[in-house]
Amino acid sequence: MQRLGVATAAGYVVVIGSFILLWHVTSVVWPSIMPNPLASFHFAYTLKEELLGDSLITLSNTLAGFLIALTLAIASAGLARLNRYARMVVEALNTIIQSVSALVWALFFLLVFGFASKAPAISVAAATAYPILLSSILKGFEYAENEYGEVAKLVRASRLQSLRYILLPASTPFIVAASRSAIGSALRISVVAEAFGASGGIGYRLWLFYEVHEYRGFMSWAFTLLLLMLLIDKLLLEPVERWARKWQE
Amino acid sequence: MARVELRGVSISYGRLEVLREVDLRVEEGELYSIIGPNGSGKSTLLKVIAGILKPERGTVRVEGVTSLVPQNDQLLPWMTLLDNIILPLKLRGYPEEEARGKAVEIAEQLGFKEHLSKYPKHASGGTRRKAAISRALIMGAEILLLDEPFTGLDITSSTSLSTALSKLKGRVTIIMVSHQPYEIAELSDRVGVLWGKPATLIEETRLNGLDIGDRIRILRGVISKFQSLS
Repeated sequence: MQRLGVATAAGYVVVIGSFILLWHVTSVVWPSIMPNPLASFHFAYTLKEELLGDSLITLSNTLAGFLIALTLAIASAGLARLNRYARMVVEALNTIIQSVSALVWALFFLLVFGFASKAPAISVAAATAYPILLSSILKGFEYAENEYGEVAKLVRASRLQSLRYILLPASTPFIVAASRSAIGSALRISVVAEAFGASGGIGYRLWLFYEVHEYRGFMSWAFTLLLLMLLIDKLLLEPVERWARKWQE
Repeated sequence: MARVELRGVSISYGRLEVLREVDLRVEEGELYSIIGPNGSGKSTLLKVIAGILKPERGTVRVEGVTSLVPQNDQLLPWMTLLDNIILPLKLRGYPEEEARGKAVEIAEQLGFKEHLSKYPKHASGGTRRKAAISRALIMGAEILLLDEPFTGLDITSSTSLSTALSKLKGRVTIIMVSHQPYEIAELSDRVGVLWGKPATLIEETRLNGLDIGDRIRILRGVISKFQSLS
């Protein structure tokens, strides 16, 4: 187990190292466009307060959007389970939302909520995460129904009780696995919304440094975004997934 | 007083008639075993008694609360055995402490109290089956319907489950479907044979009051008679 952990960490070191190496090579070949990694890291150090503050803004936008999407997805999937007409509506809604581009969502919410507000970034994150979560929860419910539907009859659970005590817990591994993918997508897309019209967050900073041709700042923020995604995955999502699968071990 | 009485029960799955004109009477506190070849409708008969399936013809009279314990335990793997057992009470709004107390009491009677904190995956087959029976008992089951309770168990688990069931004998009515001749001989008061296509109950043998040697001898006779028929 420990050996596996070391191997995983080594994998990350190799990938991040290769990324920095590629960055360095690019900066040597096109010095006018691509800044040197060391120069960028040094520049990032001078921005350390903003780095923390704006990373927290992006993180909170993403997590708020994700939580809204998770609540809506669980509620819609639950409704779909309880009523067959609701199921038809939910399935249609899922297909339609899935087919809308993230760029359309970003522009749409900017139009609705206006600029310099957190609402577009949060809404875009929610709209991106929702179909990913909903599809997995519906799949999880279907699996749970086939696998444990008989238990609900044996313990004489009502449909609502069956949802709460059997379908939802049985679907937890599906929900958690989908959450990793949903948070990743929500983070990538909320940054786009921040870039278009916000007064803070990683997306806003990326766009700002790109506009003023300060590529050391641009690369610092791009690297920060990558680290943020890794940290969320390793420190939040992986432990939650381990907890959700505890009974399977 | 009969706890369960079936008269002329027939049931089909689509065009396939599974049971025809089944008559069965099981008395209070009796342990009645049903034997028969695979696909003879033994599990279907249990589902009819449990009220899960409705017969096309005939009458089913059941006096008391029934609970079916299926062959594959049907325990929820993310809950400990204790939480699985108390789930039906939790759904009815029982105070958790009271439910836990009841579960511990039943588990103590059936001899697996020390395993209550385990997840089903970490418990032996026999313990899982005892937990499934306990869940049925905690719901106030007066008639236990056991579908092949000994299938897939090793000798230690079988013996332990057999001991647990013998403790329940007389206190609850048990109707059991099984393929394990030794356990049937050891535990049953009466044995019924379900035979034919569509199946019907064609023979009943009384075993209570006999010693284990005679029980095994009689049951062997019944089984070989039907083996020769097939």
